[in-house]
Amino acid sequence: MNGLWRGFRDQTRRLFLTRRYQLMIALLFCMSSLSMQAYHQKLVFQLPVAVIDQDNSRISRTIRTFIESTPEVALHAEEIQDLDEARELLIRGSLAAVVYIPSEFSSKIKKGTKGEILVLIDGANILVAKNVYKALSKSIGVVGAGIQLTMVKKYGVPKDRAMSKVLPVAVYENFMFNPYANYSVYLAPILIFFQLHVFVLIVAISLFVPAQRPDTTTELIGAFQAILFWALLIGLLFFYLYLPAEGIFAQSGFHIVLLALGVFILLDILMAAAIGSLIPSSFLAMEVTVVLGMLSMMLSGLTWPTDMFPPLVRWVSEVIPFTPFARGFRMFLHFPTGLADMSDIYVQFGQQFLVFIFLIGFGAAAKRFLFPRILRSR
Amino acid sequence: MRAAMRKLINIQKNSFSSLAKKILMGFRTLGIWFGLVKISLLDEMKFIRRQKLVLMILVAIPVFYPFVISYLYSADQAVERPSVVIDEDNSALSRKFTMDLEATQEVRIDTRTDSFEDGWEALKRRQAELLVYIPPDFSRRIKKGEQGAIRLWINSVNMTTYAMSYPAVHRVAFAMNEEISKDFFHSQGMGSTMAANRIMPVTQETRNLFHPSLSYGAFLIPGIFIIILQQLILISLSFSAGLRRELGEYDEKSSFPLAYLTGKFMAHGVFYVLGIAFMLFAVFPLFGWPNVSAVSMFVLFLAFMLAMAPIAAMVAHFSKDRYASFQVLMLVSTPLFMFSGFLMPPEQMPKYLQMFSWVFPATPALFAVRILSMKTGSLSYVAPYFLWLLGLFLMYLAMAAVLVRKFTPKEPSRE
Repeated sequence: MNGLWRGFRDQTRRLFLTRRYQLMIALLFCMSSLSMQAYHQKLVFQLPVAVIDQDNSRISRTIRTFIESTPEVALHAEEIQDLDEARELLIRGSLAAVVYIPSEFSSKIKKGTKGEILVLIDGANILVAKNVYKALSKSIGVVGAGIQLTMVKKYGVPKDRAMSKVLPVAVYENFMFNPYANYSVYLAPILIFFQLHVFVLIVAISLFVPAQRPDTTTELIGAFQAILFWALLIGLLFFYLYLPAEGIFAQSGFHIVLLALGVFILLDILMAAAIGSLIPSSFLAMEVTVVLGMLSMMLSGLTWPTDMFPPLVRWVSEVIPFTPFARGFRMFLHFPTGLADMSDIYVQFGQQFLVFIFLIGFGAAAKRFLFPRILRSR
Repeated sequence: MRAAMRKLINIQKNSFSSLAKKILMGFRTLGIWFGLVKISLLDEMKFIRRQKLVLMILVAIPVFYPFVISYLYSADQAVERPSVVIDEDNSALSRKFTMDLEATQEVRIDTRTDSFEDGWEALKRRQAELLVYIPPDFSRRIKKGEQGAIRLWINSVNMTTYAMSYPAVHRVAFAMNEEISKDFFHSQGMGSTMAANRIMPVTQETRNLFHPSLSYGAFLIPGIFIIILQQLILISLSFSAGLRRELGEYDEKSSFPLAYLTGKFMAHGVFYVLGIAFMLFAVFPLFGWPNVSAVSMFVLFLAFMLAMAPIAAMVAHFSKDRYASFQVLMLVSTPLFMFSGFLMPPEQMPKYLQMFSWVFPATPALFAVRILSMKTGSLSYVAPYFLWLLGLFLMYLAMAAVLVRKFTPKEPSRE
């Protein structure tokens, strides 16, 4: 018991009194906060768009007005003369899109043919491209539907039925878990818990560095307990202070959050311990841990779906505790979830637990019985 | 090595009184400075040859990370998103809708169920990302000349997959609307061509310039390579300095500490350049990442490498052991990427964060890399970013000159 307490106490001192760890904790808090702040606006607004209106008719002016009234888009202040100039601005990133309305646009519509509008979008940033496309399509589509509606009414269709002639199939969307499709809800939880994950892995694997390794296994376990305790507190702080600051509130009970977070941090520590136990060189162990840690956001499936991974990478991603935790928090963060709903997450956590325990045991046995020289050299 | 250093520094001991002599002394000091750089460079080369761990970092980071990350995103585009359909209408029209939906590249109908609870459960458990519900009166309403409604439940927490499946449904609905609307004009006695022209009389021809597929991998990878280079530069130099300190081989009391670190940076620079060449001339073509001009990109990566030099020197100077770089720097790289403006346009971020991001060389480099990888190979378009990098280089050089000297022990040099 004394050993456990000693390990806990020493690790706590190390975390809060050593300059390097102080810096790490400060970076964890600051960088997590700043990463979240990058998406504070939640939606993309006022993307610069230029309209080259060579028709200058009533319809083309209506389109311009509709585009201007879309919050996602802001019309470029300066007049643009031709497509070459527009292309220059698109290359420089001064414009997100250009809408080109040709001179015969309205006359074509009046003659009973389709009026064509050319929309050039800067596709280099897909986030900008998709948002600006959505906004422009909506504006232009509404004007088009309006013209068709007028035409349908001219054929004697009553006002209340005209819309069904223009849009017979209406699609009503419900955005689940992120009703306004905002970037903060999407990215803020990922970023802060990824930072916590990297922090826990580095702090845990640092215990295998010769200068920092506790003298006994009991003290080592005590030190791991200290990491678990403090990381859990930081995680709760993230859940109940950082995320609410961005308008994200955990929809499930405290016990669900606490359990998932606790198991995740414990598994992170076990993963670091397994690597530290398997790899004799403390430096190499740290490097492997860091590599896996740094890749784990990409591997988690939060930003890029895991079914798109090559099979080998998919397998690796399933071994990292951040992957099931990330799947889990998307559930319990966004709607009321019970333990039964998260059964598959806990099954995966359980599998990871067994794998890590086996690896720790195997590593310890290998060093003691198969490669005692390595153990002595350490 | 120490003897050579001593010889160089002894030159300084001559006393100069006049201005000419002071200028001469300045030149001589510069000569000593470059001499020390050369000595330090050769010393670091030997150190890299001797210490395999340093060599391993210099080789592994630029080879392993770009390759693995490229492999990870080799699918490039997230397609065939799993979906659930509840078709309570089961008419010819509703079946056509679901068949058209399945025919799109973006959506894959995994399950057809008659229970709303099952569909909801599949969404909740992430077995599906999209739930399409077609009500029992869908086709009947359309035949009666009313609007038929289709309801969608879409998991919008993952914006990448949401941005794929959502437009696919709208496209299918739009095509169906066009087809049904034609019937109305046909019933008014119009021919097919004329009827087609009356539907949605304003057509929009969209061209996604520079990156027509809007694929995720090609969008992300060039920027990530800049971050990999940044990490390589910071980690390798501080690791080497930390290891030297552990071995007692770091010249703590050098008279020209910045020259000492510059020499080390130049020795590592050979590997950085090889790493950049590997990323641009091997990984990019192998995985088909966009690269309008590999030569221009190479110039940009070199400029970024040089802009990072003073920062790397400062970080190395304060690295007490080889672990420091791994423990501290890892918490910085991802946030820097996030608020650099590479993903979210900078004008969409809070002002103070924009200004904060300006002081990191990764920010202008990431802006420039997007232009050079996707838009044009002409360096004139990225000239402002090169100037920005130069400004940061000079700022950090001045900072390094002050800080490194200030935090170097004042006692007489061991030389």
